[in-house]
Amino acid sequence: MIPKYYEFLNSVKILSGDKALENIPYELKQFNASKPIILSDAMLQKIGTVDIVIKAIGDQLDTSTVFVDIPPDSSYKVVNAIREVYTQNNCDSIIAIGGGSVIDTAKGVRMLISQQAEDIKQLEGSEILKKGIKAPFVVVPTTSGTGSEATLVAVISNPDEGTKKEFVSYELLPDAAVLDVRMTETLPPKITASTGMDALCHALEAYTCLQKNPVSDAYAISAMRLIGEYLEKAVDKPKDKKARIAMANASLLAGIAFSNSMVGLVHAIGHAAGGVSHIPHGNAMAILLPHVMEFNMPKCEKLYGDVLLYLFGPEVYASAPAQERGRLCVEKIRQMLHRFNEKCGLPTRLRDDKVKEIDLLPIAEKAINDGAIVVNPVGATKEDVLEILKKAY
Amino acid sequence: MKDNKKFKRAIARFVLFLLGRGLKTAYKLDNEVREEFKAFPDNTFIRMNIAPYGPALAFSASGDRLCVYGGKKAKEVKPFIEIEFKNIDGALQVLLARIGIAEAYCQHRMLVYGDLYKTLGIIRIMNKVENYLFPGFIAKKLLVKRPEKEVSSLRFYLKVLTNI
Repeated sequence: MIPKYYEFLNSVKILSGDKALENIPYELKQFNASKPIILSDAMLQKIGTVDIVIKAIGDQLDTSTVFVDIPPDSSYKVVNAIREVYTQNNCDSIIAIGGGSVIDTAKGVRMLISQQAEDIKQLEGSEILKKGIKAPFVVVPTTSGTGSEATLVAVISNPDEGTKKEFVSYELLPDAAVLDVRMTETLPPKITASTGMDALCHALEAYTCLQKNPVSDAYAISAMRLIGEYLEKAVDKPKDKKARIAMANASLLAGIAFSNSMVGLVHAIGHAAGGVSHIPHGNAMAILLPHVMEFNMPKCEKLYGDVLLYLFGPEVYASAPAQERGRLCVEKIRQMLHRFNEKCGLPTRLRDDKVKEIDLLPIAEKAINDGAIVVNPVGATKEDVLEILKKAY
Repeated sequence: MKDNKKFKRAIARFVLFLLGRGLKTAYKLDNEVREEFKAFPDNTFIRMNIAPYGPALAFSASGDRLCVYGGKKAKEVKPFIEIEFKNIDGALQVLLARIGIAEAYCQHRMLVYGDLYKTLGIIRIMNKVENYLFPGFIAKKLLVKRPEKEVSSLRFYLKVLTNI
């Protein structure tokens, strides 16, 4: 179905596969940049991931400015502090190596530099940033889930208010995303499963929510096909390079899809659950997905039938009558989650992670203020969200 | 062509005037709407603007009163959150009930200056007001889910018309 009107943009250059990291200097030199600030977190530095990237860059760029004090929840203070480091060291570009938090922090820094702003607070909003000063920006994701390397969104905490703030702007899109198996092959099976489910939620919600369009559908479908074929392989055999690079691509494709068609209720509740109970985002996605699919079933049954084909292949799809495919899709996803639970301990209920029963109401209250709820195909009130949470608990 | 835009702005000004009355009425009659306004600091303005030349509507809650500004006054306030339509034609899609706020958001028809999480409260308030103002068959088309009415539309209309 063609929407009455839609917009789509993905300007991120994709470097994927063998020796992709070694091409970072070439990409930055295209922008006449030679002194990047390298952003990552302490853990990735400790396990040597940052060093792999620096070694791949070699002496072609000045890699002396490295900042790894980025907390798991990126914050205004860190973003403002990094901007100072960037200026003091005369950096001219940004390389972010990490997961969602590092990438979102880097997006915040890029925003400050390009908009010549002192404080990120001045830039809160949606689609309000004008083209600013060039600050070439390369992202190297170290998980296959967030898709943040290709999205126009950043979520950054404001510690003074104790809240998370969302920024939406095409100015947040990186210039290049570098997908290299060396970045993800050491991920343990549980994190692989959890982040993979995050990527699946991105693709599935992009494909079913109100802002869907033919171009975002193409990306979402490609992502779901890759996830269907490779996620379990990557969990079973972490060193399977083909599965790893396929999942990195799936995550990126899903990121492009949802950057242009947004995510829905699974994410609205998942963001809130993360904020209230600190449950890992991918775990929340995995637990909530089948319950939200059931909630959305009255409007999405046919689309979920399509998802059955993309995720589980033509034989499973053809084995079910058309009117049963949507429900079979939910059932098949549940079965997949139970396999992940048995193989690597991915939780299947909120109570098995960090969520307490007393948290459910605050999560519901927070979820209805998440932008993702606006584009969910079925309208959800606080009471609806609470009902879903109780089922998922 | 230029006059056509002027005419469109005149229509937008009139609909924003009605919307302002609707907001005032909803603030008086609907508890949920009043609750939603509590998320915003007292005496801070929320503004809906149409780029590049307006018109605009600004409103601010304080105690029992919702203060609503149109025209020049609306342009002069410093808003806490501003929703700005990119152009008059996109704005009229919403103001003339061709599409709902959710669809307008999906179509990138507007920008938001300020806290995006708090903006969701404004969208819920607008949905409530639209549900009172528009006949059922239109409201059903505009809103993903129709909110509960706390008073009848007839009572709501009378209040909007009399502004008492």
